[in-house]
Amino acid sequence: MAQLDAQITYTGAVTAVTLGPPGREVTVGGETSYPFHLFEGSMPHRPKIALEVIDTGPGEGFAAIDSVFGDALNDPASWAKKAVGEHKPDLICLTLFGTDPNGRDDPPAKAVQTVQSVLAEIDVPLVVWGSGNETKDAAVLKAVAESCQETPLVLGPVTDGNYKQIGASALAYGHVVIASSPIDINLAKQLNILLENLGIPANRILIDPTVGGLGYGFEYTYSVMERIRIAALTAGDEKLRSPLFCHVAGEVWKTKEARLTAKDAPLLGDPAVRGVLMESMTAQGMLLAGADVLVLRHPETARLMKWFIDEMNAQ
Amino acid sequence: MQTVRFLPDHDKTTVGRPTTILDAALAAGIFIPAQCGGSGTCGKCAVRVMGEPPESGQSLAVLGRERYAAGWRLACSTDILEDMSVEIPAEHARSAACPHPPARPISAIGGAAASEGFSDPPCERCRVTPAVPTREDNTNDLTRLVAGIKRATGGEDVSVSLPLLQQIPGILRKHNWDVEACLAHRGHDMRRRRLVGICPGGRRNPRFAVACDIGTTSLWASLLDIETGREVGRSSAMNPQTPYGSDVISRIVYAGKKDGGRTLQRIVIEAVDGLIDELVAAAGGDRSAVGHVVIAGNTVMSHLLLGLETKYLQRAPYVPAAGVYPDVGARDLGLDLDPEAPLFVFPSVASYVGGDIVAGVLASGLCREETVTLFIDIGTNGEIVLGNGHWMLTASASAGPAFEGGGVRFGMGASVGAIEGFFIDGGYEPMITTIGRRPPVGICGSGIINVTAGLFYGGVLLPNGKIREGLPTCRVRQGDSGMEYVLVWAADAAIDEDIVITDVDIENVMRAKAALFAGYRSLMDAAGTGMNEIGRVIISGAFGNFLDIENAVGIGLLPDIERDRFVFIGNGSLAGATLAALSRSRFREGLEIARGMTNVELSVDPGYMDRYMAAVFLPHTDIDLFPTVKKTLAAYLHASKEGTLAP
Repeated sequence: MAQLDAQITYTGAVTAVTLGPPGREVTVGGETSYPFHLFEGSMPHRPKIALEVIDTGPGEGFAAIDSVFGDALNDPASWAKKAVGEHKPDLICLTLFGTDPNGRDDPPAKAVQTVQSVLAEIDVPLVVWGSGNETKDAAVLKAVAESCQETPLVLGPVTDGNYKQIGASALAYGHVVIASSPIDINLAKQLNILLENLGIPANRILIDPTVGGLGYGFEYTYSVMERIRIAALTAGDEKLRSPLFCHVAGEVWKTKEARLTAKDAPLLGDPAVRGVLMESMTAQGMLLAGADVLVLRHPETARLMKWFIDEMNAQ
Repeated sequence: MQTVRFLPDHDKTTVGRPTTILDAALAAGIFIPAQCGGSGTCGKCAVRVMGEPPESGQSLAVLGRERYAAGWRLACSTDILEDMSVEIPAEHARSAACPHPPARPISAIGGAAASEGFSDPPCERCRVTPAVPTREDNTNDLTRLVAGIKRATGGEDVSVSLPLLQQIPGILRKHNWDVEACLAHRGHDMRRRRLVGICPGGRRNPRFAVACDIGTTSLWASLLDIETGREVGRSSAMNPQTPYGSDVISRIVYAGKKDGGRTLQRIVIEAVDGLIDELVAAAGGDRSAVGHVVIAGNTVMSHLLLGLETKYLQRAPYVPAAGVYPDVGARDLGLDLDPEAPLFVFPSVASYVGGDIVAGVLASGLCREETVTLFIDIGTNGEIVLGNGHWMLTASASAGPAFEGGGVRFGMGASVGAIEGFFIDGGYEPMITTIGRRPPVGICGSGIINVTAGLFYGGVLLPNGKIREGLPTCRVRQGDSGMEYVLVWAADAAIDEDIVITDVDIENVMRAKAALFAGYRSLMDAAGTGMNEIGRVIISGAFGNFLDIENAVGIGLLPDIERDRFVFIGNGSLAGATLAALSRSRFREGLEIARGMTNVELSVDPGYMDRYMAAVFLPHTDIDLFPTVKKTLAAYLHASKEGTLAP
């Protein structure tokens, strides 16, 4: 019987995007084939891992990393320093929950201070992630963008509702933006068109397709990411060629299953392992769907994913 | 044919029929500021006519003797009677850089009724002179009458209602066995005949038929002269059910309440009665002159009219009570006509593909041709048909009432004072014309398309349909419902407030156009039909005088194919009802159309939502579906980067 040749014809490539300041930059994207299809194309830049640091310190969903970081969790700069020093992530992702108007409502100036203090302690590129409040994020990320003119950052989430304000400052001060849309290929594309119309070059945009954690819509994200890659690589869609950014940590660790103690849920196994596995399962799925940057909370997940990426790249 | 040359830098524009300078400029895509809708009051549209300018009293009154003598005229109040050159003041000349393509208005061609032969109205009349009963021949009156009818017309048997039968013996004797019988053709094949009237011989009565379109948002009725086939009058009214819910779903919900269905039925019948009153009064007749009524409406409207259960239309699997409705007469519905007067209700295809679309397809002639045609009814319940004489697919995309003026703050029907023509210059100032050239009252459906396109190409709207903030014009401001653009200042309007279009209005327009675009894309995918295989696009909708195809394509409502493939038939439902009111074979054709249609249920098509999301963007997320728009936009972006247009 003749062998069927299942060769895929690729017509495009993922845009390579460089994150961080010269000297310690990290490049993502550049794939010329589907994720890890190294027999069909190349993956010049392996997917990168960012460890999460949160400005409000530990809260619910942090029991698992308490033992890893200890007191460092109370200060974002120390947390970041310890994360970089001991766990060697490719990036740090600083989440500014403190700026949420429904929470501590930190003013932009305070957020700028936090960002500066973290930057002083790390030698990897920094992702600055807002609270998710469109209006407040516009003010906060604009101030952060202005204050870090010397150090290119990665700013997000940038949405349909605040892309103009954040986009304009990112454009002016040389930062990369993360275009965030709610698990929909068309909305992802529309936001990229809007950002490009604003003048932001394609090599300064990442797509955040919005992650659904394992058991919480994971497969929706998976199929949207898959479709984005198909559009970019085989359907000639230039507007969807940006690398994919997946904030896995925030989605996985807020689920009930990741947080339940052994006492409350004896059937769900050791909570110390359970959360890591949930984060790992989600992250691994995202990698297979085409993730270029993963934000993870637990250093053990980060270790597992690095191992997985290395294994997948082993010839 | 006159030509007008706009100075300083435009080529000649040929004007087809007598028109004003303003209209000619609007059609040529040349900006002249006009803010009062062309009613001659704001004085902003003054231009200088070279040579011997035509007289214009309004211009003299508004501009003063001195400027008038120097050749200045109001563009809106000056007709182009012969070739002329018009100078546009220098401060507006910058708009010359605006790359917006000239408007491409297409006028409604209306129903084909007037031009078509017809000799078979659904109610035929014949003079009958039955034999007078004698001692030898004492057959009953009805048999006698029916035998007379068969003798006069040939054909099948004739049925009669009890109330009419009760009168027959008296009438026959009163008029000495010389009467005129009126026979309605009924049934699935229009071959069953029913006696619906009997009157003195030689009296050609009734004279009129009424064609009626019952839309979710508006009602239209047309009075037709049966003898000549001519439309004697046309009238419209808001559907009085609208306060009970602006869309079909909320009507169904209301109909489910106690006496709800009966209330909705009663008020719509009263409204139809009102329209008939208005029409016969205007024609100098009375109600008895109306012999029959043909009604086309969507499935929900038809069900409500006939008092049928609508509950199951709304629930999966969305099943109507009937497709072909039973024969009904004025008596059954309580319509204030002769109780025997028959009503013909267009059949429905599915819950959301109704008789209005069947009538529209009938009027369009789609079903008689080989050309693959896309038929789009731009209404609240946007129905779509794709096909030709051999096959037809239909679907219904719930577009919402935006293109009928609903869901838009200053939206209105296509009546006098409605903003219709629109575009803006580099300084974001508008050029506005209204229906009837009266001071603006609101925006009609075609105006909404033009305003959306004008704002998009003029740089006020972003591709996501949001009004751009921070533009250097006081016309863009923060309003009660987000950002808004002031179309007309209160001073120039016929109402006491600024006429604006808001972010929320535009959002409704975006949703409506996306629902329609996604709908016909779904049908095309189902049939495997590509854009360039569509030979003709027929647009039906209760718009004003015209629809600007260029703008409708520009916002992604219509497909970007050769413009000469578009045909606008105005209110297709009314046009189809008109045809059927004059010809029973056309009504039968309608029954065949309904039978031949295959309905595609978009709510269970997994690709529909995806196509919809892709279409909620100006003009579309996939710009390659709109090649000419892409070119225009590229020119616009180029122009804005060169600095000839504000960013």
